[in-house]
Amino acid sequence: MKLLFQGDQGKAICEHCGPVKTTYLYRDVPLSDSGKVVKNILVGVCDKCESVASIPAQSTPAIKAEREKAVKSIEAVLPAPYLEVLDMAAFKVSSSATTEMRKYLVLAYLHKHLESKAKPSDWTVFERGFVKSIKLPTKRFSIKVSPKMEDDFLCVKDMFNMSKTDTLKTIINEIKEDILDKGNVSPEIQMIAKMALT
Amino acid sequence: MGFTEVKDTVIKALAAGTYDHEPRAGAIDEKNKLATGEVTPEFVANLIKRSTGADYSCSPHHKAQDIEVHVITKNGWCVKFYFLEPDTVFISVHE
Repeated sequence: MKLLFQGDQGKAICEHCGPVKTTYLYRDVPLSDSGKVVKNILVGVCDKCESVASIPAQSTPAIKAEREKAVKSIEAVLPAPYLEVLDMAAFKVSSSATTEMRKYLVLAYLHKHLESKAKPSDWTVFERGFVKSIKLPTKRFSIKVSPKMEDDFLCVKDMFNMSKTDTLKTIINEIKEDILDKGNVSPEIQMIAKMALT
Repeated sequence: MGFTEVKDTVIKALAAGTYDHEPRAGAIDEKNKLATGEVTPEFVANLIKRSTGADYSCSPHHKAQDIEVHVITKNGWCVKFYFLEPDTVFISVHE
């Protein structure tokens, strides 16, 4: 791959000046639709008017990263025991886990379903243990994710043919069954935990 | 420049990374999915490889009449680019 450095010369068609020579410099450049600014990327600057006239291929990873920053969320109001078993599972994976680990566990299990297309577990089995006569408190489950991860969640929701809340209940039930009931912490989950805690 | 030569040149540029993207009003054009990383250079190269003369058109750049803007539409995708020796500049890559 061709690599450019600050100070290198290039050519471009500047929207103000037409065909021009450019110099590659680091600039903050906005995205056209979202208005977000990608900071400090190498661009070709018009030697006449100093506007951004070209963007080299090597700046794409930084542009992609800025666009994919967590801007969406996966949310539901769940009976408190769901959040408790999720946190217990996170603690079983690593005693240093914080509530942030909830996100990684849920996303890992979502991803497993996307890959395997396995049938969802039956979350209602877990709720049979709830005492019916007592109204359980509810808690909000909310994680910030990238647009791609939100799409993956919606894909799994459609695969399950369930609501967002029931999809999350299913995923958390599977985390409970694997990690708490069977004591299985897969190497993949262990790796995710290591990366999440560094 | 004939269509075959256009295809060969742009495919080589994608493989070698010898291309830039044209901004729009000083901003990164989110309609250019190659610039934003939503598609890879390999994806675009494969689209172009499968295209034929029926998928191709060209017209002069509105800011530089002697530069031809090449447009290839294939499988619902549209790729617009031009050559600024020795490099290639993509204007847009979108569905």
